Formats: sequence, C-alpha cells, structure tokens
Amino acid sequence: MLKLTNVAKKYRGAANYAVKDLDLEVKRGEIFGFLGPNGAGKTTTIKMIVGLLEPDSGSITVNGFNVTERPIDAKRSIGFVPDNPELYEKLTGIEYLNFVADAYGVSQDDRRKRIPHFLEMFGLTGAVGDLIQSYSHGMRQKLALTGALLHEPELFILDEPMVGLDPKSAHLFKELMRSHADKGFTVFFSTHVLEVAERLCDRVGIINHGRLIACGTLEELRERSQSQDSTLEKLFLELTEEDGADE
Amino acid sequence: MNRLWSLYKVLLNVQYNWSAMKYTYLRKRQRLWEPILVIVGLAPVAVLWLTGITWFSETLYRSGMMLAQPHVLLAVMALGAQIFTLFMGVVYVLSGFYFSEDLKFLIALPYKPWELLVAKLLVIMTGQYIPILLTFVPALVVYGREAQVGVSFWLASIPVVLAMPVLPLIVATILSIFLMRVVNMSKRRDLWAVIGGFALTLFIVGAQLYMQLSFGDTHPEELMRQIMQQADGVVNLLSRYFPPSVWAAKALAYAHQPSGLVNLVLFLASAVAGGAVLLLLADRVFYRGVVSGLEGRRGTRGHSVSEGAVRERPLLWTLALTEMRLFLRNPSFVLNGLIGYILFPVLVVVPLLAPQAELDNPFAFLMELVSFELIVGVAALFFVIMSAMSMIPATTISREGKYLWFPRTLPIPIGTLLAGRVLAAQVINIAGSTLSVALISLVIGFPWEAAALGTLLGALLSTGFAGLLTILDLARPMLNWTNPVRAVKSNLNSVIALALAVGICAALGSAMYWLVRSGYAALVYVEFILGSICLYGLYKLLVQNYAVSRWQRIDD
Repeated sequence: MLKLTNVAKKYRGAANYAVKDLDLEVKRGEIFGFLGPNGAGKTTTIKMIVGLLEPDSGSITVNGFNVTERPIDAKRSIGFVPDNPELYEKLTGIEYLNFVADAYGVSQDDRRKRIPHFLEMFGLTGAVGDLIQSYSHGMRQKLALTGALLHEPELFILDEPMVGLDPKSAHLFKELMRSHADKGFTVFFSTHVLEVAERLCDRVGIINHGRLIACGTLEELRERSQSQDSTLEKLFLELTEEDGADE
Repeated sequence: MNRLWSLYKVLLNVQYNWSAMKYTYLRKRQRLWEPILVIVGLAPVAVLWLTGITWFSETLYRSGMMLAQPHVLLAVMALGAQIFTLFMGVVYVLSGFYFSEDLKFLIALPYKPWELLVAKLLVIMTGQYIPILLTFVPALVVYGREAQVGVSFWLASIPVVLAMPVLPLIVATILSIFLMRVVNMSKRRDLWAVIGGFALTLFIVGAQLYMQLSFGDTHPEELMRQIMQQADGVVNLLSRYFPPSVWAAKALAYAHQPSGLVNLVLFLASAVAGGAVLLLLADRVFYRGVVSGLEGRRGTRGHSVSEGAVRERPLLWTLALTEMRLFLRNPSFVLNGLIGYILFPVLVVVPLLAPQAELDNPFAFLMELVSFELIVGVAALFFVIMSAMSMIPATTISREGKYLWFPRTLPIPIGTLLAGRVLAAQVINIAGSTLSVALISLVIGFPWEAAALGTLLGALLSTGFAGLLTILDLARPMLNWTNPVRAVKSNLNSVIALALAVGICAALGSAMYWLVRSGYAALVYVEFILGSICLYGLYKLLVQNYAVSRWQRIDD
C-alpha cells in the first residue's frame, strides 16, 4: 500500500538531511506507528507522502502510484489529518465537508450516509452549521478527521493525532483507526504517545536523525534488544540513545 | 518609550515582512531575481507617475499664478493627501485593529491599551507616507523650484510632511472605534463591519466631494468675487471643510513670515489635539471594543443543518463557490478588495448631485469628445483595471496562508484549482464592473449598446488577465501573515497586478486610439478579441509549463 524506497530530503540551506536513505513498506490492512524524537524527520516524511514536499531522491508509491509522477492518483488514495489542522475558518462545518466530498468525488448517496454518521459519532451534528472559527481545537480535529474519511481512503495518514485531545476524543480516534484498518484499509500515523502505539499498532517504525533505526512488530523489536518484557517506551529510549551514541 | 518603540518596530517588521525578506534575499541569497524583477517592472510605472504628477503640479501652479495665488498647488495637494488618508484610514484601521489575528497575542502582553493603539496606529501611519511621498512631496518640489523658495520653506516642509497623515488617520480611527463598538453588539459582526466600513468610507468620500464641488451654496458670481478679492481666496475656499490642509499650505507658502509659523503651530497642534482625544478614548472604548470582538469569535451557537445541506456540486463550481465564500466572508479582504467597485460610481454620481450641476450634466462635454468605439474600449479596459484592483486573482494563493496544506493535499490538478479561482474572481469582477459601467453610463449618458458591448469584451479580456494574475501569485505568494490585510493590501503582487493592468490598458488603449484616429474604428473589436485570446493563451501556456511544477515545490 505504501512504499518508500531510498527516500532523502534536505531542506534548502540546511546542513543535514531531514530524511536520509529511508526504506519502508506498509502493508494493506495494517496500522503502522511512526515514532521518533522531536526533529527526527517524522513530519517531513509524512509531508513527502501526502505531496506537500518533494523528495530529493528515492521514490514513494501509494496504492501503486508514484507520488511525484502521478500525484493526483496517489492523493485520491490518501486521507490526511495534519498535527494542527488549520481549516478554513470562514466556512461552516457542512460547507467544508461538502467541499471535501466534491474534491474527492464522493457520490451524493455516500455522503448522505457518511456525513451524518461521523457527525453523530463525534458529537458535531449540532455545530455543523456554525463557522469553523467558532470551533475548539478538538472540534476542528474531529471535523478534519471526518473530512479525511469521507472518501474511505485506502491509506489514512495522521500526524500526531492525539495532541490536544481529551481522553474521550482520543479514545474515539483510536477506535476509528482500528475500525478503518479492520475494513482492509491502511492506517499510518506518527505519535509521541508510546502507550497508544504499543496498544494500537501492528508494526512500528522508529526514525532518528532522518534514518529509520528500527522497524517491525513489538515482538521483533524486543528480540532485537534481547529484552522480552521491555515496554515500547524502554525500547524507544534504548534505540534512540544507542543511535545517538553511534552518531 | 523604549517599550513602545520596540513594539512599533516588531509590528512594522511583521507588517512588511522585513525579517523574512532579509533572510531570503540577503542571508540566504535566494530568489534574488524577485526584487530585481519588481524594481525593473515598477521603475517605468514610477517614472510615468512622477512625470504625470509633476505635469499636474506645474499646471496647477501656473493656474494659481493667474489668480496671484500660486500656493493653490500646495492647498490642493495637501487636501488631496489628507482626504486620501482619511478614507483609506477607515479600511486600514478596521483591518489592523479589529480583524487582525495578532491582537489575541498582543492583548495578552503586558502593554497598556494606549500603547497597543499607538503602536498599531503608527504602523498604519508609516504606510500612509508612501502615497504622501508620491503625491505631496513632488508638488512641494515643483512649488519650491517654481517659486524659488528659501531655506525656511524646506525646513517647514519637514514637520508638515511628517504630520500630514496624523489628523485624518486619527479621525478615521475614532470613527472606526465607534463603528466597532456598535458592530460588536451584533451577532453578524463581520457582515455589519463590512457594511459599516463601506458606509463610513462612502460618507467621507461623498461628503468631501460634494463640499468641494458645491462650495457650499455660494453663487458662482459671488464665488468669483470672493476669490479675486481675498489674497488666499482659492486656498481658503478649497480647504473650507478641512482647515488643517489650509494651515499646512500657508505654513509652507508663508514659511518666511510670522504667519507661516502661526499656521505651522496650528497644523501641528491640531494633530496633537487629535492624538490626545484618541488616547483618552483608547482606555475607555478601544480596548473594550477589541476584547468584545475577540469574545465574539469563539463558541458555537448550535446550528445544525437539514439533509438538503449535504449537496453534490460540479467540481469547478464548488472550487469557485468556496473561493468566493472565503473572500466575501473576510471583512479585511472585502473592505480592501471591493472598495473600487463602489468608489468609481460614487466619484461619478456625486458631481451630479452638487448644486451647480443642477442645470447641466457636467460630463456632457465627454459625449462630444469620444466615439462609440472608444466608449466600448474604455468600458472593456475598466474590467481589466478592476480585476487587478479587486486583488482577488492576484492574491488567491497568498490568501491561503496557513491553510495552504489543504488544497495541496487534494486530488485536484493545479490547472483545475486555478480555473476555479479565475471563475470566482470573474464572477465578482463581472458583477461589480458591470454594475459600475451601467451606473456610470447611465449618469454620463453613454449609449447602452456601447456599455453592453464593452461589458462583453471586458469580460473576455479580463478572464485571461485574471488567469495571469493567479499565476503571478503562484510564483511569489505571501503566505506568512497574521493580519489578513497583509495578504492583500500589503502584498506586492497587488501592486504588480495594477502595474500590469496599467501596462495592458496603455498598450490596448493606444492601439485603439490610433485605430479610431486612422479611420479603422471597427477594428477596435478585433483588437480586443485578439488581446483576449493572447492573454488567455499565455495563461494556459503558463499553467501547462510552469504551474504544475511550481505547485509541487511551492513549500521548498
């Protein structure tokens, strides 16, 4: 579903690569957690996958489409929620959702089913006629999530989805990711909350200084560190510190 | 004072993007072609403008000399500069104080309300020196050269120029503060702010024009007698309704005499007095107005929607509709972008309402000067000018600002995205310009067939032009803004767009004039259709060969 081959990105004027020699494959139906310390290259990688940044070298394919060569086909397969979803404040919630549905070509029948379903689930039904400028951070996040799921994307990408959410909303987000993957779709998300990754993800990848330093199931990572009862937090700290010492 | 100075410097820096430009152009030495291109592109326009304003000033000076009152030039230009500041002030103050996103950060800082008010006002005032430098200062130079003035004139001109925008801007601020106090009580705050802002601006412009043209109720013969009898007849008359401009003119004209000093003191004192009133209002009215405005922006009212609100639309129309909604619901965009559609008809209508116009249509002479084809052509070119003045196509990407991630992740080709934006810009431009052309034609008495034909050609011509302006903004968008005014009014793309519009109008207008004079008037239509095809063809060419790659790398 998602394949990154030898991907590298260096920002103009920067001394170091933000992402270097990144190889990664995420399979259909998987929930993949992308972990790493601040500035490790998580958001840069996600931006390259969704088409906000162009890789300097290497290739990224989404659902078989190269994101540089066939960006529109690739984007059609993606639903994306950024870490801080800035939504058009001067649109009402329903205007925003109609716009997204038109952009992704969601049929009238499908949107009539899906929009009320998500609005009900997120408790936004009563606010959807208001301008987005009146929404709280959590409401915006939920609206962005609804917009990203309207076209039932093959690949659902979330950048730090738990930031700023109350426990109930965070729980709802996790449920949604699970149910999306259960339908056979793929979920790829970055997070700092290791407990969430530990409980939710089928596999995780750990990135540090722009390089993927570990990737696999929790068991595989434990085997690698030869510590069978390690938590993901412990493994994460071990791996990133080890990588820091190698630098 | 240091705190205030520091706040002013930061706000000025943010307003004009200085740090970002210094970083990009000087430290990183990237995109150096941009400032070079802007300088090269604007230089001919600046030369053209300065030539025009110098010619106008010289003509005014000579006219004044015939009445033995050469400083009519100073009075006219001071009055013009102050009226301009007054009417633009309402738009700038409303945008800068009430619709600026930075207020929520600034209010949290340990600054007193008057410090915030003064710092923001100083930033707006700094921007107002640009039109003064372009209009009043050339007039000063012409006067100084022609009248062979002494050092005292040049010394007096420094405080006069510095104080020139102060009082009108303070008047505009006070009016805006009261307007926003009223508007904040409304649930539909943004809508009423736009309506109130336009009404206030129109009132100021309309009242000034009416007064200048009617000269009160003075009979024409009495008026001439007054002008000839008084030493400063014309000057006094011109400035009857805004005394500070006559003080400015006399402070300069009589700089070598005690009366000059008296007028200078009067001029500066009026600015100081206005400032004092404003400071008194700052704590009582301004702060509460801003805070209540911020309060109004949060909290949903619980509007659910009917099933019919979930509606499928054709992609191009949904893109255009969203663009129009986002533009028309932002008071800063609307106040700055749509003022031209209202101002031009008002400038034409008001002279007709003045008392001396009751007898005759003051524009009747125009009918004898212009042919049918020229009216058609001028109406069509009006659409091009207004497309640039509206700033809708020329700032379409800039206005996205922090929202740019969203259209960039949508599965829509950039060609389609731009087409939606051109469609939105054209719906607004064609509606606004058609109304203006219809009203102006009705008032002046142009044949309706010419207006209709001009509208048709204007719509064609401005479509390709609007497309080119979207490409311009794609090439150099201004995305880092907190105050929406920066995305439109302070955006250099708006100036470049206007320069391009002037260039296109000059080229097509000259060719049209030549065709009419040479007896090939019918070819004017061919010229405009060919012009439309060329502009649209160039736009499509740039979409295919430039826009796609630029859109992919716009963040790099």
